[in-house]
Amino acid sequence: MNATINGEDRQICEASTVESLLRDLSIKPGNVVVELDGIVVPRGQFAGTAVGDGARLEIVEFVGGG
Amino acid sequence: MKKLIIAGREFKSRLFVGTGKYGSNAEMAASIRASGSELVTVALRRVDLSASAQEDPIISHLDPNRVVIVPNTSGARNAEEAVRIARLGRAAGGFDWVKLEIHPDPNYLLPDPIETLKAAEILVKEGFIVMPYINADPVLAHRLEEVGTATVMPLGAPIGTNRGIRTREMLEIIIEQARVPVVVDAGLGLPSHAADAIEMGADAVLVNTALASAGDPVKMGKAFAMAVEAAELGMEADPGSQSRLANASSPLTGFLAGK
Repeated sequence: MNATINGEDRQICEASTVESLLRDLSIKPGNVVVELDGIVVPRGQFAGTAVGDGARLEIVEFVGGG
Repeated sequence: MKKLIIAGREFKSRLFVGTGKYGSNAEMAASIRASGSELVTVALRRVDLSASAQEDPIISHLDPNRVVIVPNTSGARNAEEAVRIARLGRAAGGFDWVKLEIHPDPNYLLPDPIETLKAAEILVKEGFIVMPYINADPVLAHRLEEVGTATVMPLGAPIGTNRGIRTREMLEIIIEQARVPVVVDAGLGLPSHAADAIEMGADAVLVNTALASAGDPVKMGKAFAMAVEAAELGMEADPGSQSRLANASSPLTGFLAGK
Protein backbone atom coordinates (compact mmCIF):
# COMPACT_ATOMS: atom_id res chain seq x y z
CA MET A 1 0.00 0.00 0.00
CA ASN A 2 1.08 3.54 -0.66
CA ALA A 3 0.40 6.85 1.00
CA THR A 4 1.65 10.38 0.58
CA ILE A 5 3.02 11.58 3.89
CA ASN A 6 4.15 15.21 4.17
CA GLY A 7 4.47 15.30 0.41
CA GLU A 8 6.59 12.13 0.18
CA ASP A 9 5.35 8.91 -1.41
CA ARG A 10 5.77 6.10 1.08
CA GLN A 11 4.99 2.39 1.36
CA ILE A 12 2.83 1.68 4.39
CA CYS A 13 1.74 -1.56 6.07
CA GLU A 14 -1.60 -3.16 5.23
CA ALA A 15 -4.35 -2.32 7.73
CA SER A 16 -2.54 0.76 9.01
CA THR A 17 -4.19 3.15 11.39
CA VAL A 18 -2.95 6.65 12.17
CA GLU A 19 -1.61 5.27 15.45
CA SER A 20 0.31 2.35 13.89
CA LEU A 21 1.67 4.58 11.16
CA LEU A 22 3.07 7.06 13.68
CA ARG A 23 4.64 4.17 15.57
CA ASP A 24 6.23 2.86 12.35
CA LEU A 25 7.63 6.35 11.72
CA SER A 26 8.92 6.62 15.35
CA ILE A 27 6.79 9.70 15.94
CA LYS A 28 5.33 10.32 19.39
CA PRO A 29 1.58 10.80 18.92
CA GLY A 30 1.34 13.32 21.75
CA ASN A 31 3.46 15.87 19.92
CA VAL A 32 1.81 15.99 16.53
CA VAL A 33 -1.36 16.81 14.65
CA VAL A 34 -2.46 14.65 11.77
CA GLU A 35 -4.53 15.65 8.79
CA LEU A 36 -5.87 12.74 6.73
CA ASP A 37 -7.13 13.61 3.24
CA GLY A 38 -7.59 17.22 4.30
CA ILE A 39 -9.47 16.52 7.53
CA VAL A 40 -7.91 16.90 10.97
CA VAL A 41 -7.95 13.65 12.97
CA PRO A 42 -8.53 14.28 16.69
CA ARG A 43 -5.78 12.72 18.81
CA GLY A 44 -8.28 10.47 20.58
CA GLN A 45 -9.20 8.89 17.26
CA PHE A 46 -5.68 7.97 16.06
CA ALA A 47 -6.12 4.29 16.98
CA GLY A 48 -9.51 3.97 15.35
CA THR A 49 -8.76 5.79 12.11
CA ALA A 50 -7.78 3.54 9.20
CA VAL A 51 -5.30 4.78 6.61
CA GLY A 52 -6.30 3.49 3.19
CA ASP A 53 -4.30 2.98 0.01
CA GLY A 54 -3.53 6.30 -1.64
CA ALA A 55 -4.21 8.32 1.52
CA ARG A 56 -2.69 11.76 1.84
CA LEU A 57 -1.40 12.60 5.30
CA GLU A 58 0.07 15.69 6.83
CA ILE A 59 1.86 15.21 10.12
CA VAL A 60 2.75 18.52 11.73
CA GLU A 61 4.19 19.78 15.00
CA PHE A 62 4.71 23.09 16.77
CA VAL A 63 8.03 24.82 16.28
CA GLY A 64 9.36 28.24 17.16
CA GLY A 65 7.84 31.11 15.21
CA GLY A 66 7.15 34.82 15.38
CA MET B 1 -3.36 54.02 29.34
CA LYS B 2 -6.51 52.03 28.77
CA LYS B 3 -6.30 48.44 30.00
CA LEU B 4 -5.22 46.00 27.33
CA ILE B 5 -8.02 43.49 26.88
CA ILE B 6 -8.14 41.08 23.95
CA ALA B 7 -11.06 38.69 23.61
CA GLY B 8 -11.98 39.32 27.24
CA ARG B 9 -8.53 38.57 28.59
CA GLU B 10 -6.54 41.30 30.29
CA PHE B 11 -2.82 41.56 29.61
CA LYS B 12 -0.61 43.33 32.15
CA SER B 13 2.33 43.36 29.76
CA ARG B 14 2.10 45.13 26.42
CA LEU B 15 5.01 43.10 25.08
CA PHE B 16 4.17 40.01 23.03
CA VAL B 17 6.96 37.74 21.82
CA GLY B 18 7.66 35.06 19.26
CA THR B 19 9.54 31.82 19.83
CA GLY B 20 11.49 31.48 16.58
CA LYS B 21 15.20 31.57 15.82
CA TYR B 22 16.52 31.05 19.36
CA GLY B 23 19.68 29.01 19.89
CA SER B 24 17.80 26.56 22.10
CA ASN B 25 14.44 26.04 23.74
CA ALA B 26 15.99 26.78 27.13
CA GLU B 27 17.29 30.13 25.88
CA MET B 28 13.90 30.92 24.37
CA ALA B 29 12.11 30.12 27.62
CA ALA B 30 14.54 32.24 29.65
CA SER B 31 14.20 35.18 27.27
CA ILE B 32 10.40 35.01 27.43
CA ARG B 33 10.48 34.86 31.22
CA ALA B 34 12.74 37.93 31.29
CA SER B 35 10.41 39.76 28.90
CA GLY B 36 7.43 39.25 31.22
CA SER B 37 5.30 38.58 28.15
CA GLU B 38 1.90 36.96 28.56
CA LEU B 39 1.33 36.18 24.88
CA VAL B 40 3.67 34.12 22.74
CA THR B 41 3.43 32.95 19.15
CA VAL B 42 4.44 29.55 17.79
CA ALA B 43 4.47 28.07 14.28
CA LEU B 44 3.39 24.75 12.80
CA ARG B 45 5.64 22.73 10.50
CA ARG B 46 5.62 19.34 8.84
CA VAL B 47 7.42 16.77 10.97
CA ASP B 48 10.78 15.85 9.42
CA LEU B 49 10.27 12.16 8.62
CA SER B 50 13.98 11.57 8.08
CA ALA B 51 14.98 12.91 11.51
CA SER B 52 16.04 10.03 13.72
CA ALA B 53 14.95 11.57 16.99
CA GLN B 54 12.34 14.25 17.50
CA GLU B 55 13.31 17.39 19.30
CA ASP B 56 11.81 18.28 22.60
CA PRO B 57 8.42 19.80 21.72
CA ILE B 58 8.47 23.56 22.04
CA ILE B 59 5.10 23.67 23.77
CA SER B 60 6.54 21.82 26.77
CA HIS B 61 8.75 24.87 27.39
CA LEU B 62 5.80 27.25 27.60
CA ASP B 63 3.55 27.51 30.63
CA PRO B 64 -0.07 27.88 29.45
CA ASN B 65 -1.01 29.23 32.88
CA ARG B 66 1.32 32.18 32.38
CA VAL B 67 1.12 32.83 28.65
CA VAL B 68 -1.50 32.69 25.93
CA ILE B 69 -0.11 30.49 23.17
CA VAL B 70 -0.99 31.79 19.73
CA PRO B 71 -0.18 29.57 16.74
CA ASN B 72 0.60 31.51 13.58
CA THR B 73 -0.21 30.58 10.00
CA SER B 74 3.29 31.22 8.72
CA GLY B 75 3.98 29.31 5.53
CA ALA B 76 0.46 29.87 4.18
CA ARG B 77 0.43 31.36 0.68
CA ASN B 78 -3.31 31.97 0.49
CA ALA B 79 -6.48 32.06 2.58
CA GLU B 80 -7.25 28.39 2.12
CA GLU B 81 -3.85 27.29 3.45
CA ALA B 82 -4.05 29.73 6.35
CA VAL B 83 -7.44 28.34 7.39
CA ARG B 84 -6.07 24.79 7.22
CA ILE B 85 -3.06 25.69 9.35
CA ALA B 86 -5.26 27.46 11.90
CA ARG B 87 -7.48 24.38 12.19
CA LEU B 88 -4.42 22.17 12.67
CA GLY B 89 -3.20 24.50 15.41
CA ARG B 90 -6.53 24.29 17.15
CA ALA B 91 -6.55 20.50 16.88
CA ALA B 92 -2.96 20.29 18.14
CA GLY B 93 -3.31 22.22 21.32
CA GLY B 94 -6.88 23.40 21.61
CA PHE B 95 -5.72 26.91 20.80
CA ASP B 96 -8.47 29.24 19.62
CA TRP B 97 -6.11 32.16 19.15
CA VAL B 98 -4.44 32.53 15.80
CA LYS B 99 -1.94 34.98 14.38
CA LEU B 100 -3.09 35.18 10.80
CA GLU B 101 -0.15 35.77 8.49
CA ILE B 102 -0.13 35.20 4.76
CA HIS B 103 3.01 36.42 3.05
CA PRO B 104 3.79 34.70 -0.22
CA ASP B 105 6.48 37.24 -1.20
CA PRO B 106 9.84 35.72 -0.18
CA ASN B 107 11.92 38.90 -0.23
CA TYR B 108 10.00 41.23 2.02
CA LEU B 109 7.47 38.82 3.53
CA LEU B 110 4.80 41.44 3.03
CA PRO B 111 1.33 40.24 3.97
CA ASP B 112 -1.25 39.67 1.22
CA PRO B 113 -4.19 41.90 2.17
CA ILE B 114 -6.83 40.19 0.03
CA GLU B 115 -6.09 36.65 1.20
CA THR B 116 -5.75 37.90 4.79
CA LEU B 117 -9.21 39.48 4.75
CA LYS B 118 -10.71 36.34 3.15
CA ALA B 119 -9.14 34.05 5.75
CA ALA B 120 -10.08 36.36 8.62
CA GLU B 121 -13.75 36.18 7.67
CA ILE B 122 -13.72 32.38 7.68
CA LEU B 123 -11.72 32.04 10.89
CA VAL B 124 -13.87 34.53 12.82
CA LYS B 125 -16.96 32.55 11.80
CA GLU B 126 -15.30 29.38 13.06
CA GLY B 127 -14.83 31.00 16.46
CA PHE B 128 -11.14 31.79 16.29
CA ILE B 129 -9.66 34.81 18.06
CA VAL B 130 -7.97 36.29 15.02
CA MET B 131 -4.92 38.54 15.20
CA PRO B 132 -4.07 39.49 11.61
CA TYR B 133 -0.59 40.57 10.54
CA ILE B 134 -1.02 43.35 7.99
CA ASN B 135 0.74 46.14 6.25
CA ALA B 136 0.10 49.51 7.85
CA ASP B 137 -3.05 50.09 5.80
CA PRO B 138 -5.80 51.94 7.70
CA VAL B 139 -8.53 50.84 5.27
CA LEU B 140 -7.60 47.18 5.55
CA ALA B 141 -7.37 47.52 9.34
CA HIS B 142 -10.91 48.88 9.34
CA ARG B 143 -12.20 46.09 7.08
CA LEU B 144 -10.64 43.44 9.33
CA GLU B 145 -12.16 45.04 12.39
CA GLU B 146 -15.55 44.94 10.64
CA VAL B 147 -15.30 41.19 10.05
CA GLY B 148 -14.54 40.71 13.73
CA THR B 149 -10.81 40.30 14.25
CA ALA B 150 -9.68 40.66 17.87
CA THR B 151 -6.80 43.00 17.02
CA VAL B 152 -5.00 44.41 14.05
CA MET B 153 -1.24 43.93 13.81
CA PRO B 154 0.35 46.36 11.37
CA LEU B 155 4.05 46.06 10.63
CA GLY B 156 6.62 48.64 11.66
CA ALA B 157 9.08 47.36 9.04
CA PRO B 158 9.43 44.03 7.20
CA ILE B 159 9.75 40.92 9.39
CA GLY B 160 13.12 40.37 10.99
CA THR B 161 14.68 43.61 9.76
CA ASN B 162 15.18 45.26 13.18
CA ARG B 163 14.69 48.66 11.53
CA GLY B 164 12.07 50.22 13.78
CA ILE B 165 8.94 52.09 12.76
CA ARG B 166 9.08 52.94 9.06
CA THR B 167 5.33 53.10 8.56
CA ARG B 168 4.72 55.96 10.96
CA GLU B 169 2.19 58.07 9.07
CA MET B 170 -0.18 55.22 8.27
CA LEU B 171 0.32 53.66 11.70
CA GLU B 172 -0.82 56.91 13.29
CA ILE B 173 -4.05 56.76 11.30
CA ILE B 174 -4.65 53.13 12.25
CA ILE B 175 -4.10 53.94 15.93
CA GLU B 176 -6.39 56.96 15.68
CA GLN B 177 -9.23 55.02 14.06
CA ALA B 178 -9.05 51.47 15.45
CA ARG B 179 -11.62 50.24 17.92
CA VAL B 180 -9.72 46.99 18.53
CA PRO B 181 -6.24 46.84 20.07
CA VAL B 182 -3.42 47.77 17.68
CA VAL B 183 -0.33 45.59 18.03
CA VAL B 184 2.72 46.81 16.16
CA ASP B 185 4.24 43.63 14.81
CA ALA B 186 7.46 43.08 12.92
CA GLY B 187 10.54 45.13 12.28
CA LEU B 188 11.15 46.42 15.81
CA GLY B 189 14.80 45.84 16.69
CA LEU B 190 15.60 47.99 19.70
CA PRO B 191 13.90 48.69 23.01
CA SER B 192 13.50 52.31 21.88
CA HIS B 193 11.51 51.11 18.84
CA ALA B 194 9.05 49.35 21.14
CA ALA B 195 8.81 52.42 23.36
CA ASP B 196 8.23 54.52 20.24
CA ALA B 197 5.25 52.36 19.26
CA ILE B 198 3.67 52.59 22.71
CA GLU B 199 4.27 56.36 22.81
CA MET B 200 2.50 56.62 19.44
CA GLY B 201 -0.50 55.07 21.14
CA ALA B 202 -0.19 51.44 20.04
CA ASP B 203 -1.73 49.04 22.54
CA ALA B 204 1.09 46.49 22.36
CA VAL B 205 4.08 45.33 20.34
CA LEU B 206 5.12 41.90 19.13
CA VAL B 207 8.82 41.09 18.72
CA ASN B 208 10.78 37.95 17.93
CA THR B 209 13.96 38.58 15.93
CA ALA B 210 14.96 41.51 18.16
CA LEU B 211 15.25 39.14 21.11
CA ALA B 212 16.32 35.94 19.38
CA SER B 213 19.04 37.56 17.27
CA ALA B 214 20.54 39.57 20.14
CA GLY B 215 23.83 38.41 21.57
CA ASP B 216 22.10 38.04 24.91
CA PRO B 217 18.41 37.25 24.33
CA VAL B 218 17.63 37.16 28.05
CA LYS B 219 19.04 40.62 28.66
CA MET B 220 17.26 41.90 25.55
CA GLY B 221 13.98 40.42 26.79
CA LYS B 222 14.38 42.39 30.00
CA ALA B 223 15.38 45.53 28.07
CA PHE B 224 12.24 45.39 25.93
CA ALA B 225 10.10 44.82 29.00
CA MET B 226 11.57 47.91 30.66
CA ALA B 227 11.21 50.03 27.52
CA VAL B 228 7.56 49.10 27.06
CA GLU B 229 6.83 49.70 30.72
CA ALA B 230 8.65 53.03 30.68
CA ALA B 231 6.74 54.18 27.62
CA GLU B 232 3.45 53.13 29.19
CA LEU B 233 4.26 54.94 32.44
CA GLY B 234 5.33 58.01 30.48
CA MET B 235 2.04 58.07 28.58
CA GLU B 236 0.11 57.72 31.82
CA ALA B 237 2.08 60.68 33.18
CA ASP B 238 0.47 62.83 30.47
CA PRO B 239 3.45 64.26 28.57
CA GLY B 240 3.73 68.03 28.13
CA SER B 241 2.92 69.49 24.75
CA GLN B 242 5.47 70.06 22.00
CA SER B 243 6.23 73.47 20.59
CA ARG B 244 8.35 74.84 17.78
CA LEU B 245 9.91 77.66 19.79
CA ALA B 246 12.00 77.18 22.90
CA ASN B 247 10.38 77.48 26.31
CA ALA B 248 12.89 78.29 29.02
CA SER B 249 13.17 75.89 31.89
CA SER B 250 15.08 78.39 34.00
CA PRO B 251 14.08 81.99 34.80
CA LEU B 252 15.63 84.40 32.27
CA THR B 253 14.96 87.64 34.10
CA GLY B 254 15.79 89.20 37.44
CA PHE B 255 19.49 88.47 37.34
CA LEU B 256 22.66 90.12 35.96
CA ALA B 257 20.91 91.91 33.09
CA GLY B 258 18.00 93.07 35.24
CA LYS B 259 17.65 96.65 36.50
